[in-house]
Amino acid sequence: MSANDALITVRGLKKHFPVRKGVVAALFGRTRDRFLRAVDGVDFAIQRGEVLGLAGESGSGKTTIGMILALLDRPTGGAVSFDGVDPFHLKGKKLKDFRRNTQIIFQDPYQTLNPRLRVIDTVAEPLDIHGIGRHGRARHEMAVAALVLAGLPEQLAGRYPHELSGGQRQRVAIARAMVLRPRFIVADEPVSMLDVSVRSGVMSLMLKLKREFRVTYLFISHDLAASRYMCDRIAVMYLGRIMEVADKETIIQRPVHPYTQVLLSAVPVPDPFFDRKRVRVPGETPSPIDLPPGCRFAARCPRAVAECRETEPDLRAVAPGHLAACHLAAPA
Amino acid sequence: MSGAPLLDVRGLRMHFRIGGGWVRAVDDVSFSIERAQTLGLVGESGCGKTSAALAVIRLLPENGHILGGQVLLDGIDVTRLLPHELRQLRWTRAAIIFQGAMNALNPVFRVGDQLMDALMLHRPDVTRRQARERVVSLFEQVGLQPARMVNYPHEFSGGMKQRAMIAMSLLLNPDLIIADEPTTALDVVIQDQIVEKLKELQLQHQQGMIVISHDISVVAETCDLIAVMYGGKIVEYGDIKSVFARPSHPYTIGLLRSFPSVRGELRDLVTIPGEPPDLVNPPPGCRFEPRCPVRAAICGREEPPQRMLDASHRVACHLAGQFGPDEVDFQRGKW
Amino acid sequence: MAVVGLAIVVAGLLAAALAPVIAGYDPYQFSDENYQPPGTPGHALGTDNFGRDVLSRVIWGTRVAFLVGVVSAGLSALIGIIMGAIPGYYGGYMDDLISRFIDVFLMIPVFFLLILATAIFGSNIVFVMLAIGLTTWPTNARIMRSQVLTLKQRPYVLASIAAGASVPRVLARHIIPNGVYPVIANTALQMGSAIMIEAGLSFLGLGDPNVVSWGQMVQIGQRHLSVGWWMALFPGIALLILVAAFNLVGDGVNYAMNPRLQRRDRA
Repeated sequence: MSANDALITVRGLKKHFPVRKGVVAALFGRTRDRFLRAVDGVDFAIQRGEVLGLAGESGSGKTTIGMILALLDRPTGGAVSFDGVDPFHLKGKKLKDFRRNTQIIFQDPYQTLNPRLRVIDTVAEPLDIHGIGRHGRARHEMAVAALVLAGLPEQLAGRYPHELSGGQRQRVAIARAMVLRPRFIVADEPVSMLDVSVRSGVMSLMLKLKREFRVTYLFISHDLAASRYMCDRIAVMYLGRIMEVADKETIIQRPVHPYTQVLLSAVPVPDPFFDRKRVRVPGETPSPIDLPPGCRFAARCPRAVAECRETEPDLRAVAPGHLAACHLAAPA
Repeated sequence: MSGAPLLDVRGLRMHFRIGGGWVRAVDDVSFSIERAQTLGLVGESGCGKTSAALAVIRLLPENGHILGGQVLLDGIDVTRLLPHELRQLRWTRAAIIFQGAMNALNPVFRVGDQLMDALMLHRPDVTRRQARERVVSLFEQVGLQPARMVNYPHEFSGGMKQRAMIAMSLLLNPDLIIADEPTTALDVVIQDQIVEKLKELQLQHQQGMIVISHDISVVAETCDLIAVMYGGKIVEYGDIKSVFARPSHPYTIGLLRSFPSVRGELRDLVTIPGEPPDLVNPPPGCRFEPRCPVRAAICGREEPPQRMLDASHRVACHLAGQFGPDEVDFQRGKW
Repeated sequence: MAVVGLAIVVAGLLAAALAPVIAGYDPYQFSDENYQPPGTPGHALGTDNFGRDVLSRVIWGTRVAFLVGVVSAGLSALIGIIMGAIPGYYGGYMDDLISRFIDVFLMIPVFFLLILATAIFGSNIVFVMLAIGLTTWPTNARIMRSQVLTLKQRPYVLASIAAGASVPRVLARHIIPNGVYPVIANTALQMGSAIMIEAGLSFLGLGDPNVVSWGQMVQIGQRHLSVGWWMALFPGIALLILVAAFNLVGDGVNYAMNPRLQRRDRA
């Protein structure tokens, strides 16, 4: 790992949602509030120009983190630093200006564009908002340039979203995200809902933009194969905490956390000659509402010992650049 | 075991009407499956894989018609059955697990009751007690606790609902199971468990299975045969290891190389440029020709014949055998 | 069917606009030829107790009908959209407060409220239109609010916020244009009901006596039913047709919205 050139630093990030008490529970005096701990103490840094992957199953908290880093949601605890600035203390014009740095690409291409706006209007909107470009004509040209950058033909500019395929719509979303030349983009499952033959094109586009414009990405995905292709480092999440983070080949070839091992062993491989060894684990992911003490994976972990059920392990370095939250992983 | 395959589809053609024209969704499709064998149908959206599989039991879209071909299920020609015979065949000899099947459970009835009712509907001779015993047995087979029969669907997780749907498809011990995208909407660990269970049951009951999927990794691991479809036609077909080891159709090559994998070496992914063909007015000649990097003049004029590469591997390409997988370069296309 | 409704509405609008041209008589003009039955030469629909031509009065009545319908329902829609979108978007105490207020308001029968209001403030037609608008907006607000609650989570709205859009921009450009369809459908229905309310008020004698309104005609005609049944019948039919037409148009808008919402393209 090179010297610390972090664009974004996250410390102790928490996002807890209160769970409404049922009427009956309230009547019977169960007044202790329950919380859905979607994100429960997360630390990481994203280096300038890198693609950090957030991998995990549903309920792991990865989408919530993405929304927070895109400034669409506020943390309930912890601190976020973007190039030394805490974006959650900004207000008004300062916040608006700051937003030029961070954009987001969503999962569902069919809901990501306003159906009543033409493609060019959707892409030009960020320019309108910030008053970039001296007049309408200049903005129009910048928006068309963004479309072309995203691999779309100019003729599509005047079309409406319902005239476009899913892959094309997602490219429009990418054009919209790029038009302000942000430094950071949150990509929340950007290809999961695209047809398989279209995915590689969109992923290649994102990598090309990263290289040409030095964009830093947070790539959120449940698909480890896609994460391996797109990311430089991958952080594996489970029930609101990071279990392991390392550069991609280390995570894929030499994972030390039992959950990472289970997850990897469950991913199908497009090779009929490959004999995949499954690490079996009982049950299903529990709900993040009433978690027992200790490590959150202890209940299902094939190697859990007594200590695992008592104290929650910290995320510690087990090798340079490789951190894991597991009592059984030898520290560096 | 007799020599005839369990399912033999020959020259199946299914078109449906939309707006002013006919969509040639399934155009001269042929494949066959033995008992305990699994066929994977892969391809992008709109290639006809779902239409073809559903047409096997004559589940057609609105305004859909089977225009030709034969579907022989254990010797019975499904295309010629009368409506009441077709109804008897469905669920007893061939069952479907639909995509997003977990949403097919009625939320106001208990899961166990729904399965028992389905069984008794098809078999009026079965008593309620016998039905209950059968459902208990199936629950155990799919990995659900029988005590959960009294639960309502909302009390089941996604994975559990999928298991319930598998149990439902097995109620009448069909010879053929059609699984439409069995792994969507589930987390990867649960997906893996479900797929494993499905294979285990198939082996146990010696059923034939068709898996429709856009995910070739699932197909690679679970299927014995693979049919790659494009534009309503099968462009490559055969034993799975043979097709993966020696992909011979440019589309298959492109498809295989556009898939990221967690294992194996890390390579650049291929993107196939262009769009799928219009099935109302398909291009003359090979349907993949407009997007094909190795196309020749003949490809635009004549539809390619099926060429046997060996006993269990065929491909529909004029130039089959004249290029190796590494010579197919998709980078020259748009995007 | 909605097209039929639309055609009728358009015909009515034309009648309203061209009233001075197509009506044969001044609707206020008294004459000696009172109680003439329909079919009398020069009076296709007869005359009323003051000798005024019924046909001309029916034609002129479209003006009041449309005025009432458009102004009342339009005002109701405007207030409803704002009172639904803003609290719905911000949520919190404001939203709770306004929702409760709307709940209470919806419990009160509007018609009686209006009777009370006209009894207190008089029955000028302008006042009546404003009053109808000010008492019928809660339904629109509820409709708009429920749309806003769904739409504010849509990715394209979030993308706009992430790009730095202000709340007015998000509401005006993304949320309201996509959520307003049910309000439009409801407004078409409210136009019909506004006309009926005004007719009802007139029928009870609370309407503005200085304008030509169908409700008023029915009220007058009701007193002379035995000698001039046509005086009440024709304005009554006109009411029926126009209100039914607005209802058809409202249904049509509703129907047109749904297939659009259902339509999803293949990737």
